[in-house]
Amino acid sequence: MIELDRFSKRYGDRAAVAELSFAVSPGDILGLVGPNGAGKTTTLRAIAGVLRPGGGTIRVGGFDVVKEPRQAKRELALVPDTPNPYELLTVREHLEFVRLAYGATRDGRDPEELLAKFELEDKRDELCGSLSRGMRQKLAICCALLHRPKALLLDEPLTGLDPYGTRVMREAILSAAAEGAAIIVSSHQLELVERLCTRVLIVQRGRKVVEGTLEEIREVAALAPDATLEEVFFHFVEESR
Amino acid sequence: MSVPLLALWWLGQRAWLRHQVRRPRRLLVIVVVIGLLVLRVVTIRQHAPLLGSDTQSPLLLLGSMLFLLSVASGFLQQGPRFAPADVDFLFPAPVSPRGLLLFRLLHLWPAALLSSAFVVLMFGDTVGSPWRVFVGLGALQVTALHLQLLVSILLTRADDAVAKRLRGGARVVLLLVLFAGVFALIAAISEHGGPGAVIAEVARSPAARVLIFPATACADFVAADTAARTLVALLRLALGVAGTFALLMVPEIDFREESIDTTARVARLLAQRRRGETVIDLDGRRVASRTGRATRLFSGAGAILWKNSIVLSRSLRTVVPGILFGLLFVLPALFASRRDVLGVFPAMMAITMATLFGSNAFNFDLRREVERIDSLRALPLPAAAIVLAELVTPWVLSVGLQELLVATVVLTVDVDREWFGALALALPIVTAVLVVIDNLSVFLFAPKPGSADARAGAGSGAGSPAQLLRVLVWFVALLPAAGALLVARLLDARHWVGLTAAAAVELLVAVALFVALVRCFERREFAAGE
Repeated sequence: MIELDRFSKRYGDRAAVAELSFAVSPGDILGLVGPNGAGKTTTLRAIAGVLRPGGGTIRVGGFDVVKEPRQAKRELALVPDTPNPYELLTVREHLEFVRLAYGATRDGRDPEELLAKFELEDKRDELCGSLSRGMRQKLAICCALLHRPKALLLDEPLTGLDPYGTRVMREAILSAAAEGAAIIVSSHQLELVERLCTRVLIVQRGRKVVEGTLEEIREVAALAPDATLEEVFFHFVEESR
Repeated sequence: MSVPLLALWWLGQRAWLRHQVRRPRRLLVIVVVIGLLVLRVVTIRQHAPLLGSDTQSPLLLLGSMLFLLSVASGFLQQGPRFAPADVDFLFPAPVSPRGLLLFRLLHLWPAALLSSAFVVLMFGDTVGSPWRVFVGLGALQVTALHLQLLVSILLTRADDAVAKRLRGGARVVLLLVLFAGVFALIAAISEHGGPGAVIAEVARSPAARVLIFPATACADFVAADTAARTLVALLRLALGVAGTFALLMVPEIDFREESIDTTARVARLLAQRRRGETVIDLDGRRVASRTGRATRLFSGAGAILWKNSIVLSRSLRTVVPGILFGLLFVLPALFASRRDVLGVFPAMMAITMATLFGSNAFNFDLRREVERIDSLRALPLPAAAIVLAELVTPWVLSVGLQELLVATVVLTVDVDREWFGALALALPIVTAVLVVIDNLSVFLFAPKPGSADARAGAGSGAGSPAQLLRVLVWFVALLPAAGALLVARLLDARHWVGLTAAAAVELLVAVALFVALVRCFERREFAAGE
């Protein structure tokens, strides 16, 4: 569903991502982890067609994000790390805007159902500008799920959420995967990645360090079978320093 | 005030100056402004006085306006506003409220004196000795500042609901003072009679001398013709400064809790302004959602149009006063038109002004989307359709306002209708060029990823200094049309041939700029996270 082949991106002299290749199949949840400045957000933005790749190819649902951007974008949704909804639209209007823009008025999810699921019903007529960070995060995920995307990109999805919101978000991600969506979760919360993701990709300085299931990368690191993702992460990151 | 606070103030000023100087675009703007001011200082004595015999009325009027606006804005803040960093680091520190207040004043006093110097440079010696005007206005502004802070501190003793009601009332007063003041000032300066005499009469009344005492003292000080009168007026000014400072310092009221809320609220409003959004207090705003069946008409790029129309309808509270304020300057020139070729120019200038401020007043387009560009780019729509949909609202509104002005003049004033007909046809094209350039500036002046500006969170909203450069681009972009007109005239072509050629050339410029804007929307990269 999501395929990156030798994807590269530079900002001036600095290589943000260098020859990164990986694939995410339908139903898979890939945890994208790495230290600050590793190129995680750049990778997600490039997959979403927001940034142009400097080299390599990115395909979503079989469509090249550079050559067939409209078809590729129709298949995916991006939840940014800092959601900035339209401050002067109400929560309900914001969902309507996204629904109209994606042309998902018939086959999309029911906005009211999503509002209820994420406990935003009583906020439906409130202006987005008055929402807290956690509420904005919930609204962003509602917008992302509205058109039933086949690929879902989440950048730090749990930031600012209360324990209940965290649980609802986790369940929403798992249920989207169960419906066949290919999901990438970028996060610094390694416990979340360990509990949620079927595969893990560790990146550092824009390069792939290791990829696989937790068991596979434990084996590569020659760590004990009960080693946590945090231990595995530090093993690889310290090693590649 | 303690030495560490003084040191902190000094370090802050030095860092601010260094920060400005190290950013080339800001430095350019600073150099241009200083150059203009120096030029003004050099030429200050070469101008003949602009005002006639009555120099006191405009100064009194200006002083009263500054004083009332400053004091009334104290009602907008329940507890003085500080910098967010002050709230985070100074409020928890062992510093008394009085010390905090002095620290705040250290920032505000220079600003008050600087704005007085700016007024002096604007007016020169047209209202009296520049030094006297500077001293008088400086003392007036410092006194007003003390009273403004005093009001905001006393408001912390009031109930939240009362403070909110007072805030609403103060906004109305501020608006009225601003409108009435600008109108009276234009009338007084242009010596159309009426307001000047009325103001002098009102200022002589005992009530006014108490209510707007710094303004009357300032006017008396500037107009004093004997040493005794000068001394008395100067004493009144000094007493105003010292007395209000004492009033501010004596009762030590702990305003910190309310100041935290005020600071956060104002920081949010300033951030909105920096982003070029409508500056509106969103706290607790609940409105009826407009999601009826009719919204289905707006699918695809139409959704952007629908979204912008809703944002516009909720921004009228800030858009309408802005337009009315602009019309205050435009309308007198508009109706000064006469029925000859030269007489058309004031009206054309006025409509040009309306065109220029219209683009900024109706910025419901990509200028408001800098922080949401990623979301827009992620939409499964052609980039050209997204950009076009974003440009429709400001273009339609600006052109609508201009055509309304043209129609009003043609129907009410005896002017050359042929000229105005051509103008009515040219305005949509010119406006398209200006709106596209304004949107282009969002991308051209945006901080590059990883740059110092990006790290500093420099805004690319309409108010940022770099955006001022776009005015230059406007004129350059309109030159081809002027060139076409000139060529047509040199070739002795008919009127309509020249106008058609100019329109065609400018249309091409608009299309070329639109293509460039779409390319920028697709490709220009803003600062990324990681």
